Amino acid sequence: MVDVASHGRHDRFAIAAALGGGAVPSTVRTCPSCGALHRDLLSIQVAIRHAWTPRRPRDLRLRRGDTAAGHQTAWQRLLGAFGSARDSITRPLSIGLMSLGIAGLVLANLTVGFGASAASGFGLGAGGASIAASPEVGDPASAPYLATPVDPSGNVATPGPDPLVIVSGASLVVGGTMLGLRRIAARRRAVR
Amino acid sequence: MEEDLRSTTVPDDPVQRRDLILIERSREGDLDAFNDLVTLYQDALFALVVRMVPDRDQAADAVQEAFFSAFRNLASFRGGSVKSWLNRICVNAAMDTQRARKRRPVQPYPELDDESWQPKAGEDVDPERIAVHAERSRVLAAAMAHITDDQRTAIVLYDVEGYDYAEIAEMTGVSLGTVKSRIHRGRLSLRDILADRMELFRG
Repeated sequence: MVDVASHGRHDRFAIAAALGGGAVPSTVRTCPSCGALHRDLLSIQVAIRHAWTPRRPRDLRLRRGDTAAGHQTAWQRLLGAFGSARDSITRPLSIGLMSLGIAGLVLANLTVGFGASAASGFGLGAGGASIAASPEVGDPASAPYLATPVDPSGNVATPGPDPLVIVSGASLVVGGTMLGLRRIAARRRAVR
Repeated sequence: MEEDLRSTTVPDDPVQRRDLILIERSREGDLDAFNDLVTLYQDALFALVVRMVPDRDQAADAVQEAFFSAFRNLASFRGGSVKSWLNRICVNAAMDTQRARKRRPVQPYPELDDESWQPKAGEDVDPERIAVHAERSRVLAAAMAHITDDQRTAIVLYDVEGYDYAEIAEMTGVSLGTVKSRIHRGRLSLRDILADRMELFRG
């Protein structure tokens, strides 16, 4: 049965897929436009296989001087591996590490900001007096809500670096370095 | 390494045997032996790469870069077909060139001179057929230059080089589904581009 009106709804992709060994859709037989598309795709496929190519513009044999100049150090080989056609890992990895790093730093910053605002918020007593004005501020027992530990002698202990900041910073640096190496490698290839 | 090559691969095919001898001599630093390999394969490899990078000079640069890479990495050859090994290195070099073109676009796929088209050896010499074939090749190359690099690479590797989907996925570092999608969409794009010139390809 000829099925012309509905051609717009027919699956062109399935017709193209049939050239790779997939099942030929029934529309190729029932719809003249789909049949024509199938025939055209086959013709193009055959033409691609048998197409002539332009002549090679020069002899590509290597010269002794070129091979000596082309000798690569381990560093150059490492750089060459970054961003090459075979390298499908470093880009997503570096972007992922940088995203994690930025997210971690933002989170750490928010946590610090939230801690500080919470501390100042809690610092206001029922009478509206600031914690700084409280005479018991040096007494650790009177300030259990403070994030910063206070030793019995009243000195404020210096907190160590936040592990989240360290890990985030490291992943940001590693990711950024990888991305930078990819750019350098790409520029070297483009210049050659 | 050389012992590995000798002990694990004793090909019956004289072409492969010849290639392996040239590789062994190249590993010993014999540049002339390597250049014999270049002479044997430069046309086939250029024909592959120029389909992926439709600019003769850039394609030639990519093939020469691939030969350099092969010469520098002779130790990485693990036996088997030398031609397949060189093919893969050339495909990588061509994909690197495609990426460089994206970053630093030069003249976008210049028209190739008519006299530069090269018939395959042994094809007929009927002038009319030659003219039709040259025109078909020129029109097809122009259309191929207008589809995406990824689609063109996948189509060339599948239709011309005869790699299967899985091999292309491995070579290009994408999934099987992506390879199929690139090939099928590329074919449909080619047909749309060539819609007005299809009479050249029929019959």
